[in-house]
Amino acid sequence: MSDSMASSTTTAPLLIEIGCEEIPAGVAPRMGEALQQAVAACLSDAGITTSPLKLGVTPRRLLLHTEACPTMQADREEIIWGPPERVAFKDGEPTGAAHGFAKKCGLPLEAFTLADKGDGKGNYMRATRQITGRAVVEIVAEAMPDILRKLPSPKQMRWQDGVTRNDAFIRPVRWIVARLGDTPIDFSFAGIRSGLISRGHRIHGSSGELDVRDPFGWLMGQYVHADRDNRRALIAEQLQAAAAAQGVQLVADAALLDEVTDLVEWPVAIAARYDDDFLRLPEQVSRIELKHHQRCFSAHDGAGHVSPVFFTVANIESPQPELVAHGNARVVNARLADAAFYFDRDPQQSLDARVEKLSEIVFQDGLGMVGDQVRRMRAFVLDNATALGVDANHAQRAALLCKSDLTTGLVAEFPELQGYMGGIYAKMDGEHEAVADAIAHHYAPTGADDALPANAIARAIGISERTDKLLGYFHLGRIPTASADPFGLRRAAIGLVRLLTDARYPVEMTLQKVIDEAAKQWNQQRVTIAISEETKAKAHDFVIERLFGLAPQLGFSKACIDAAIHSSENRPLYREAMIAEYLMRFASSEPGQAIAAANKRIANILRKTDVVTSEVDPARFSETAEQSLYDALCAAEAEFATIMQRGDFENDMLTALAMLAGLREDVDQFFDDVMVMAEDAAIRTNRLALLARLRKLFLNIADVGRLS
Amino acid sequence: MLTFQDLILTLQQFWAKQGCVVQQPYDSSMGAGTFHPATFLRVLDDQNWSTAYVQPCRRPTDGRYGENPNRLQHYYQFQVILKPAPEDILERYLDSLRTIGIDPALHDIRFVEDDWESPTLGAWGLGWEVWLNGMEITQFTYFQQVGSIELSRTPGEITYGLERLAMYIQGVENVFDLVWVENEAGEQVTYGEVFHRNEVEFSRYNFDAADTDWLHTQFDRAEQACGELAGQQLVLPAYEEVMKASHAFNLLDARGAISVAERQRFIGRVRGLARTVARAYAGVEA
Repeated sequence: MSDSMASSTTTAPLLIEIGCEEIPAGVAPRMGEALQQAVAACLSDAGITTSPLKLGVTPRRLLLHTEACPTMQADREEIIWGPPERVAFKDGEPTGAAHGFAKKCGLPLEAFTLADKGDGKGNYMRATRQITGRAVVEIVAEAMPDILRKLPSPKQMRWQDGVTRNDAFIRPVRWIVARLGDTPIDFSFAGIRSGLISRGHRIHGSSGELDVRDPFGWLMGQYVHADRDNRRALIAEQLQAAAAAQGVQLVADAALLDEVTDLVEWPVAIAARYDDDFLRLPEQVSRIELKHHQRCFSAHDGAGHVSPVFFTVANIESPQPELVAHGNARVVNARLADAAFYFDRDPQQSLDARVEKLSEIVFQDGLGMVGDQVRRMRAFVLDNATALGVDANHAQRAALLCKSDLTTGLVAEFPELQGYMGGIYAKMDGEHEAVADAIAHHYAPTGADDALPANAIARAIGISERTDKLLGYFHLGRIPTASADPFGLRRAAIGLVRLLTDARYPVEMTLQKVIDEAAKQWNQQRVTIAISEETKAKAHDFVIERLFGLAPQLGFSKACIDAAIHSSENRPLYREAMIAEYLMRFASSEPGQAIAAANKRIANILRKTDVVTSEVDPARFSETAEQSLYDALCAAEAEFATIMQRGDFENDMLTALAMLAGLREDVDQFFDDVMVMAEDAAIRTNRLALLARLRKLFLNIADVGRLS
Repeated sequence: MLTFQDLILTLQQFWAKQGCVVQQPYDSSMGAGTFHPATFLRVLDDQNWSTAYVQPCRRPTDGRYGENPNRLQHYYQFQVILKPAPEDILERYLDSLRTIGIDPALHDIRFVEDDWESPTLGAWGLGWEVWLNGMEITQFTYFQQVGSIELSRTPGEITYGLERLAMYIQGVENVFDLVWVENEAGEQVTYGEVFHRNEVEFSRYNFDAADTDWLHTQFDRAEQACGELAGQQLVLPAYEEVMKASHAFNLLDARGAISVAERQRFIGRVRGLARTVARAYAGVEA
């Protein structure tokens, strides 16, 4: 099909608004962007070019507008190809097939000529047809219902009776505006027919015709800041101004700002204040309460201390903002009073005394209690303190106490504070600073982008906990599927990989060793759970898969880490990660690529033979290239041994890789000149042995063949 | 001053004018107004149905011996069901707030996402918790599934927390200080006078005194009876056994007589009963 655009320049403003009941925070922006893309795609597929589509998103509406959209699709010519000449004509006369095709196309047979399609198969029937451009309103109206049905949303609902009940959406749709200039874009979705009438702010606004030329301006008059970016900036500005007026520093929080932006159409920041008495609470208590429970912003005073002033962002311009402030303060005060009650009562029992209570908290049905978990973690860090790089005494203490805060009233009330409160209570109990700090941070990292703890003991506990959890759940057969991971095992494995690959806090244990040691604790506890070799192997593979998945984030490719872990050495993961990083550079160099290719070739050759010896007999060489490679190999082996004796892993590996890259010319020459699979068995075996020895040398570092 | 009983009367009046059948509390213990057959069963069929009622709710684990200003093991919900949910249901709800003296132009009312789920009733829906200046005062839900049955028509459920709402309106910080009624001479009866002793004694009963063996037996018998009654198409009596089983479970939970592992199994058993009854009511073959 080819197009020849006729000139059709009449344009009109395009306006689409989907009005809803309140869409959950976080969802509306994604839906808005998807709507924008889908409508843009619909227009461009139809060959319609518009001025840029502007998106508006609020809790109650998704809005699209552009000033200039053609009203008509351009006329165009379509070329129709029919059957080949040998089918269409017989003895110079058109066949039934020719008549049939013309009829199907709605054209007289005379409209067709014979023409060469350029496929080298002779002539075909060909006609050109004039296609009249359609009205753009029709094109958009046809597409809209399906576009709306396919907008991404986490959970959809049904709300109306009747035949369109299956038009589900994130929340009920209550109105739809759709027009191109003065022409309606007429469609229905979920029982709502598109029209001209929009609604303003729920409280301050009213219904009316949405201005097709300036919908954002019209909505502003209806107390709706429809432009999300502007609304977000406005809230940030209001918060800054309100903080300045109160003489405090706002605690910036981009995620909270995003959430609040999606909760309001007409933001008004209002300062409120909770009782000074609660200033004695640890800062995170009020912060979490304000953020997670109230969606309010915290503040610091001039000296950087926590301030009782906080900020809510109302969705109305109340003539009595003090009512809003008072109401919010009342809720926060009640919740902080609860927190203070627990904060005063919890320390009556030390974390140490609380360990006993952990035997009453279920770790997981079928896997015993948290008390057992703590004992396993304690034994793990104690047994492996040196390899984990931690002080055994502090580490075992922190492991023993790290879950005790789960039994405190404050953590029961504010689960987000687990760990953090443990650290604070540990200090109050007089535990060592290192112990308290480890307890506070042992849950990190909780997300893929979360920072790792700057505390070796916290890391050691984190490694123990994650491995322990993986083994326990894998033992029960609760292995995550592609779509479901209800126990957060994938997240646990990702955290484990990040901890084990970080060279800043080297853990001198191979992954296998970590797993073996963790499994040992399951086997040795009071009520033994025997972790099978098969379970261990599955858990190992699961972690390695995550390692592959994380590779780009860790600074190397999947192929590089794959090559590293397939060396002949058993190394801790942080060393594998180092090598993978070096291999990135190695693989991008010209000699590196050649060496990798040669290794792959050698691996393939060796795989097809059953020669196992690597004993080379130089007397059997018949080609110069054989001897050269052998000499180079012997020199390289000797040099490698010397390098390895220096015991500086990082530099040694770099030096060794560079040295091995130097074998490239001899290897290439060998393959150019030498026929490995010689007819003479003795010569063949000798050549294979030479290659096996070469491969063995490389395998000390990595299976570089996997880079090719 | 809007007294506690004025609040109830005003809401009843308001929803009566909206065409609701104003019912009275169901005379059986339950954890939420959703359990009332006027909600649980009536939302399952295809008939139009609008109702409003007060329902005392029992949450044994929330008892604090009458010592906590905000927590009660027995409290009131005002429950509204509109089936089908009218197009302007949220505007009607805002009007109901206006009638009890809460002007949404003065107070910041927010609809904050809250997807409701009741594992015991096999029910879920989408909606919001409604915030009044940051305080949750109402749960609003469009039911999607009840009794493990996908609904063919969507009811809107509005559940007001009456004590909280009244505390806000009256500016009271302790629930027991709520004015229940005030006569012309200005003499008051407080919530505490009506219910404090109830809280103290039932907290002791829930946490310390309830006979757990008997409760286990009650649960088992209710479970058995429910199945038998449902088999005889005695749907409403069968449903009453679901409520009894559920309450026995809540009491056992408060008594600490159910381990975490058993807990899930008990919830599953109640859900199974609710499902049986729901299917019997809806005429679905078991």
